[in-house]
Amino acid sequence: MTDLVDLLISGLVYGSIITVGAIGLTLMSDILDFFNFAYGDFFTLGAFTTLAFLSVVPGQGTFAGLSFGWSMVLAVLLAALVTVMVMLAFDYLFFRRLRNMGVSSLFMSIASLGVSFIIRSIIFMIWGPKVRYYSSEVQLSKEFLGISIRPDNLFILLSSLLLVAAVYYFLKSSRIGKALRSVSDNKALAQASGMQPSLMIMCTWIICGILAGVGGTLFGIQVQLNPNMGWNFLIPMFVAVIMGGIGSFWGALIGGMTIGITEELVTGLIQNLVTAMELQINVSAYKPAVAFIFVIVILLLRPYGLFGKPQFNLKR
Amino acid sequence: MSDILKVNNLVAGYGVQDVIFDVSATIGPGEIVAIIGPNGAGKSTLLKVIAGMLTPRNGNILLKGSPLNGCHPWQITSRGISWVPQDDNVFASMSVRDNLEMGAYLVRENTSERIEEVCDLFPQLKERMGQLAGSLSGGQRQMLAIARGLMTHPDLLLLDEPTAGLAPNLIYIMLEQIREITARLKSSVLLVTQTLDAVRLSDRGYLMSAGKIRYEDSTDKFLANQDVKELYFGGRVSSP
Amino acid sequence: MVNYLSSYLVMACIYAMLALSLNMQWGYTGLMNFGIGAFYMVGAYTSAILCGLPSPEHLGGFHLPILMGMAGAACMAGLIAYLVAIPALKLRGGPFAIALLAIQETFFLIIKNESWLTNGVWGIRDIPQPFFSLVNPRFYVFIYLIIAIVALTLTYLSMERAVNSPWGRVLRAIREDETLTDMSGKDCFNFRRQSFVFSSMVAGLAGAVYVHYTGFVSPQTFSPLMSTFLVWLMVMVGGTGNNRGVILGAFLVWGVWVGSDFITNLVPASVATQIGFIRMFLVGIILTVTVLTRPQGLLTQKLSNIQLIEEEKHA
Repeated sequence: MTDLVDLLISGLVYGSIITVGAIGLTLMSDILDFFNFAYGDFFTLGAFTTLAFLSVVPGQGTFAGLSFGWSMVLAVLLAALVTVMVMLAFDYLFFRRLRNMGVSSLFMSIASLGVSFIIRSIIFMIWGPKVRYYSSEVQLSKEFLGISIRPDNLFILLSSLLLVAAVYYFLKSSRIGKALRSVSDNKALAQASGMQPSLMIMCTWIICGILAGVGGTLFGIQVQLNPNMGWNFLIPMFVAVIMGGIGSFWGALIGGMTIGITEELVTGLIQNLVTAMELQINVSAYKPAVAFIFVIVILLLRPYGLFGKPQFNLKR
Repeated sequence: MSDILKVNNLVAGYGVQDVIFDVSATIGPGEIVAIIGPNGAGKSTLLKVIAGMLTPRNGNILLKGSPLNGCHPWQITSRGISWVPQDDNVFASMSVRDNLEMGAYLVRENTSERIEEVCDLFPQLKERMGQLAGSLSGGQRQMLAIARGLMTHPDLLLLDEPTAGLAPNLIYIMLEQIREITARLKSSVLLVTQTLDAVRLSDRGYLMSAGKIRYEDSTDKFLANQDVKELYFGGRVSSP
Repeated sequence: MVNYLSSYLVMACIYAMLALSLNMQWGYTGLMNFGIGAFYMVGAYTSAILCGLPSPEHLGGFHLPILMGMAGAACMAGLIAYLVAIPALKLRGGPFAIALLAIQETFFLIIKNESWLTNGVWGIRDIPQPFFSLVNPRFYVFIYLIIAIVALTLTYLSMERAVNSPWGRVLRAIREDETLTDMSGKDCFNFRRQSFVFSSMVAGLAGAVYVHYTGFVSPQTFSPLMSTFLVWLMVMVGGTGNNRGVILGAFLVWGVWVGSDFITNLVPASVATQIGFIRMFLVGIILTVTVLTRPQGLLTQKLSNIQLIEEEKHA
């Protein structure tokens, strides 16, 4: 029973990180109108820039049972800023030009693949292929309301919840947020209402940059940092987006949480089953495949995602 | 230069094909001008070009004497032209209030007063403020679309088939409302239509077919003209 | 030196086959396959297991003739493509690419983890090489070059034949406008599946040609970068939808890739470790710049009638 609760908690934590990424990705896929394969690597960039800032900002040590101190908050903010700047730079260098050329969204995706390699190779060159950690502290679980959870994981859960709520509030209530939603709803009418496409695109990059910077760091806290982390994280994030329907906030939220929990639960339970049957199969090695099987099932049931607009029909 | 809008020798089209050829037209202040013509005549295309959604190949458009060439749609909107397209003319996933707020995106101040004002004009919208635009009926949706276009207090309102898909009794009400509202806001209107009633309510009419303006006159003469009858109404129109 | 050149040519031929396969999918059918490497890998392992010597560590060692291994590789890749197509071809564009990316990831995991099947990360050794006993091992690469060139030529001819047939015209019509083609009474799903399966068989064959050249196979060869994205770079550089162009692209890109080996020998060891990353960087830059400057690649496909209609629709 405790086993199940543990699995559920790690699923929640993992799912909340996926959600943070998927919300940015769904917004980007919708408003920029292409699938950005570099998005995962912006996650990696966020995680590594946090690592770099962590050693220079004040507030070292540990705090309230976490494996890191106040410096983490400062470092994350700086890292999010850097991620946003890098994203805007790449937009200025590549994506803006492609948009002006009127290149189809598929070619935009291929260009984003190129950008993904550029970012990843630079991260490799600077930090090397070694696995890194934010902190060398070993963390023990603590009891909260009768549930034992690592304080770090609680921190991840709460901060991603906060971030998602902030994005929701922004989209729901602010002038720019509503404008972004209107662009996502009806591009032509949004332009005719006075939305400036370049401004809307910039806002999208900024939101996505913040989400990637923070999300990448949370992912780094949960496991470890390596230059391929974001690229490998791309599949669950995209699966959440596709499952929820492109452009849907709630879809990304539900998709992200579902995939996180399913991956942990399914692999955990099957592992138990396999061990009980005394088979020598390492099920957790197939974790990424769970997300993939999931998306296939979902798409067979609902071709445009759970909350998707039927007119998209994923034919892009 | 008392004209609100002056279109000179406009040529535009999609891809390799031109859809409108050498179109010239003018709209005076406070005037309601109707463009009628068969399907595929290029009426909607003309509105799209004026709204900046389509770049003209040739010719120019003057708004209050200054050219609009090369302006983005948002710049054109900020200079006082509102475009209400025929289809997809509301943000379906957003509430009625949000739709109106988005219409006033460029205005920023006194949005709530403007929403009040629009609600006075279209009382049906008032009780549906929180409802999603996608759940409105055809007539309410059309009203919302026009209301959204009016939020900026435009000098010129471009209406693409405002009466399409409405019940006959609603068409008349809608047109009366348009007339009343624009008189109150002192806006000019350029409307594309297939309905005879719309022409009757206008000050002037243009007949367009195959991408060219064929005939233009004040409403009375327009409706009486034999060419119009033959070209468009098939000679079956009773004199007003 | 001549040996070096020949081995470059053999690998370039294999990559050209992969590029042709991808071109059929992306260039002619519009399928954004980010998992072409999976079929290459499946082909390689199938032939290795079918033709390899018996071994206690893993399945296989059926020691079948090499031609049967190649046929088996193509069939296996085709069969898997057929099964994958059922869910994946319901998707288009980006989502299809992600599904295939995930498929590649899954197959990579299976090959790496299921050592009873593939001997895991240690790989399969002693895969027979055709006509190996006939010549001095030093000159064997020349023999194999002939085999590779024959395989490439056959692939090229069948591809050209396929895309210029009425069948190929339907594929291009699907790429340009699926709804329209659907309404003209063509079963688009079936056509796309046929194209997908056929080209995946070619990728499987390329895998077989590869293992019988090296005599050894391990998962490292099939990293996404080496087996999928390098091929994408070749197709993009060579010109989407142009068979001769992508062959040229394959030879060029593989030339640059191999050429960077020379640089490794020239620079100090501290920099040499970075070479892999610099290569990755180059792949990224070339891919992006190609899309930016010549989205159609080196040899541009003639503007078809269908493309004009498409342009009109988007304007």
